[in-house]
Amino acid sequence: MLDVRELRSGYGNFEVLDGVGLRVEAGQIVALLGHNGAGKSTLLKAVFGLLPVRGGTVVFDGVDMTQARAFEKTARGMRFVPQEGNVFQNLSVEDNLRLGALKLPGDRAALTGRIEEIFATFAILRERRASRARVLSGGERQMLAISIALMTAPKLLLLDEPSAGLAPLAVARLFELIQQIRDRLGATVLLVEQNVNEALRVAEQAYVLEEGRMVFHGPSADKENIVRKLWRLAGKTSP
Amino acid sequence: MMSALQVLAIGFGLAGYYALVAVGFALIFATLRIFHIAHGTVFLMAGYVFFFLYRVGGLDVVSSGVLSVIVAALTGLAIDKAVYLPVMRRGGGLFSVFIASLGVALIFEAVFLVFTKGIVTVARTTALGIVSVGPVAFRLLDIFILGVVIVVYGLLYLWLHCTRRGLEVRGLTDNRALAAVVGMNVDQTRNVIFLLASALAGIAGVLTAYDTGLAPDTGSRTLFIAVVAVILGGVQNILLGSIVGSVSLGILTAYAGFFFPEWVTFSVFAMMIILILIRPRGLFG
Repeated sequence: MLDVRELRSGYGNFEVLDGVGLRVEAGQIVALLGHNGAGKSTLLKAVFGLLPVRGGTVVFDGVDMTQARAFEKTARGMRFVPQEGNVFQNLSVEDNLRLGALKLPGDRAALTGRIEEIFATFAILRERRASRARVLSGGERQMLAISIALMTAPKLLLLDEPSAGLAPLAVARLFELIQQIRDRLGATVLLVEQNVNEALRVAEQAYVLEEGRMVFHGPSADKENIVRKLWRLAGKTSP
Repeated sequence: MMSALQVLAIGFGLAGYYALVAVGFALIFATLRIFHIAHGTVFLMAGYVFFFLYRVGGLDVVSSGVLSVIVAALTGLAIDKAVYLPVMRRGGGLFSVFIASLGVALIFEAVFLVFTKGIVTVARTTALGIVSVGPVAFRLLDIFILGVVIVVYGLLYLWLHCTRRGLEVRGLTDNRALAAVVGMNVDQTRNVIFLLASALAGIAGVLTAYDTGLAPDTGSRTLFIAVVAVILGGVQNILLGSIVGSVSLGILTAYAGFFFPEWVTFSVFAMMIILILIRPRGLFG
């Protein structure tokens, strides 16, 4: 589904990613872990086309999309949910969903049908359909952010720290939702998370990024090893 | 002696011009964060093209007006393509774009000054019709301008709220970064915004050329008042903010111009500063 090789990218003259590789198979949830500043969000943005790629390749769904822009990747079925600023605050829930459907093929009826499907999955959003996004709770807002991305039934969903700032109950609900997205909707998920336990619980594969380089890749079942690796990178020997 | 009601009628006439320029400026600023000083140049370009087509070339008024508005729309788009986009693609920030815009406005103003020798050029050749309602006399042109403003704002409202492109514009206004994330082709939407906003400034330019006439600094003077109107109304609310700001300033400048003509500029900017101190995001920001 996604094959990233020797990727180099960054901000301005500052290079953050130094030849990063990553592979996500169709139907998987893959966790991308690492400490703050490791380059996880940068990797997602570069893969999605929001940051310039200075080297390496990004192959998505069998097509080389290294230099493709975000709207072209969206049209092919890749969606990205940023960590912050991921909803249109002053627009209604329904308008947010409609903006998520810019690349949805079909007519107005197809759009209405898709919105109803989303409301069937997220009942609270139906109740809040006319409310502005800024009045939603943190959990509801995150639900809306993911729903915006789901409007076009994506093949690959890039989630950037979706649990950041959420209450524990909302975090549990969120990870259930991520599993549902894969199991029921058939989307592949590349998940950047700080919540290592929950991320490894739902993911099949895990990568660990440190200072712009991939330092670990393996099955998420190898949790002990991954956690130890993360602690070592943090300069600690044990939790 | 002119009555207070008569001055009010003049104020509404002025508000029409300000509103047409202000709504375009607000559209560009709210969505793209570009402080488009050269919007006044677009206004002026339409006015001068109209003057040459109608007054010098002898073309009929409607064809001259339509062609001038088209030239204005293309001028606005050309400024974005030839100046703003290259500046941004080379890493220039919004301040660099602002300086570039100022440069474009000053260059055009200098060119217009050379060609017109600074003389006020009035496109119309006949006196304006007047209709009286009780003690108040309305100029037919002012009524026409208010009609144009009502139609333009009504169509803009429908466009923003009932079309996909309008939804994109509202999305851009709210969160530009997310607009790209949801798959919006921002460059395409940007073209539409520049064409539309410039056409609106063009309408104001044509009407001004027909009404009071143009001088090389008319564009910048009108733009400054329109910018104040946008700031007063609140940038985020494109339609309501620009119309309320424009009407307020139209009435203010009419009364100030009548009672204290030398204090018009002072009144406009004093009002802006006071309101910014009280409501930094404007009335509807």
